[in-house]
Amino acid sequence: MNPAAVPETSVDELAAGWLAGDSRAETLLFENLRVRFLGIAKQRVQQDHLEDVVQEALQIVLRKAGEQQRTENMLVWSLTVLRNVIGNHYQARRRETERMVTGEQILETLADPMARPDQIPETDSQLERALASLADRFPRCSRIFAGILASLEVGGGPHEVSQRALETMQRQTPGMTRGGFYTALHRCRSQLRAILEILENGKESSHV
Amino acid sequence: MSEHSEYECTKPGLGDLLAAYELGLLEGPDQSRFEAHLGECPACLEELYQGAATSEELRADPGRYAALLTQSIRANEPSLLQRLGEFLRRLLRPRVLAPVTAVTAVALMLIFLQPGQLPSSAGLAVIEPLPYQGLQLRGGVGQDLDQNLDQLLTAGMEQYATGNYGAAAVSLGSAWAMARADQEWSDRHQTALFLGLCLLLEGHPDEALEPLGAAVESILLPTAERGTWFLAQAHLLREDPRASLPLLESLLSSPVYRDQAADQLHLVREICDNSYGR
Repeated sequence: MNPAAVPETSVDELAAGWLAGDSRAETLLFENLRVRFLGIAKQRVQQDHLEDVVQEALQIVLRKAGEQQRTENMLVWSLTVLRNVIGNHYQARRRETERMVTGEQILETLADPMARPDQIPETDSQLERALASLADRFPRCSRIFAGILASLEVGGGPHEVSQRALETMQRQTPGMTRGGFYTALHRCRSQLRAILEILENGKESSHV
Repeated sequence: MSEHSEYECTKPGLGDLLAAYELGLLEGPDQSRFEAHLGECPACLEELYQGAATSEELRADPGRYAALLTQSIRANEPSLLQRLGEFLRRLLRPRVLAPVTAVTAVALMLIFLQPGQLPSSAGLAVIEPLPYQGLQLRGGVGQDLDQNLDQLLTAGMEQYATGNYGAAAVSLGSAWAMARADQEWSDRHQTALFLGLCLLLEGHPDEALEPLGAAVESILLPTAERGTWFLAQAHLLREDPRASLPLLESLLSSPVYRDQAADQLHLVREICDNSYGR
């Protein structure tokens, strides 16, 4: 990525500027997201579809962010939009392939609803199961997450939220620094992701 | 890029901010700095993409997930009997024990606790699987990495990644048996670390001592520290808490293990103080 494309201001600040009518912020925001989207999409989408997928994702991001006046956690949210667009792209390609199957196969599929692929993964219950497993296997991690989520629920700006969560942790681990807190959180995130991957792959073992 | 959680961040110090960033805890210069890092580190950008849906889900309804976690934490808390046992154990510490209290405490112990229920050091051991880490095979058994060794290592780490620690221990153990004596083998410490960890996870602390002891010798600080931590846990599982003391003390300067080691050291010292009668 061209370092010049990364502005000093954050994506959230650019989004706030754009929503306030700053056309330069809009250009920078668009370019910032485009470069990051390309970096991700090029590993998943064929070259001849790459620009279309990225442009579609950007259009959705800018339209929805405008509608919702969204300026918080803009990049992470944008990546979920990109993920959906890439997912839709895969599905469209799969449908093209499915047109090749015979009419008989289609009838069989329709007759047996269980034979149809589940289009909506039960991510919620998976996340719940993963969090329960985290509490069982990694109690310290679950306390860290619980502290942050409870603080997010209370609300406030990023510093306020993280300070409250840090203070909660400091009651359990006196002397914990903000850097140590973020590092611990990062490690716990890895544990949660590992559990989610095992659940998603259907390879839940006694160790999870 | 692998789907697994461990990834090769170009600047781990900055990469450690990823979880805080995705949950929206960063602002101002920290936020910009991390976003600039994302521009230079494809691994972190990819990791953020992979986890974006989960973090957005958590942020969308934090109260619900906080409640769920709190409920799960409570469900895993020690029972009343366990807490009573812990209370009595603290009461029995020689420096605070008064004779009458001792009689009362022993009577209560006889009523409530079964033989062998006094807290053991094994109960303090914390064995958490490390995030999956692909071994970077760089050759080094002589100048030519043996193909069988390569296959064993790769198979072992793949088994580890899926949570099949028993099978991983077999594969990594075979690799370790083939090449452990070769000081030129560049992956020996990493292999030893994951072998030892798999053995611990499978409940074989005695067998884990040797590979973990080798991991401690690594010149790479993260590997050495991880080896030290898990070696201490192995001693605790073997009911040899005194052997874990110097290891835990050496981790007090570790930025990663400092807090955990301090917490555990406190408890292990208590057990050692009270172990005269055992």
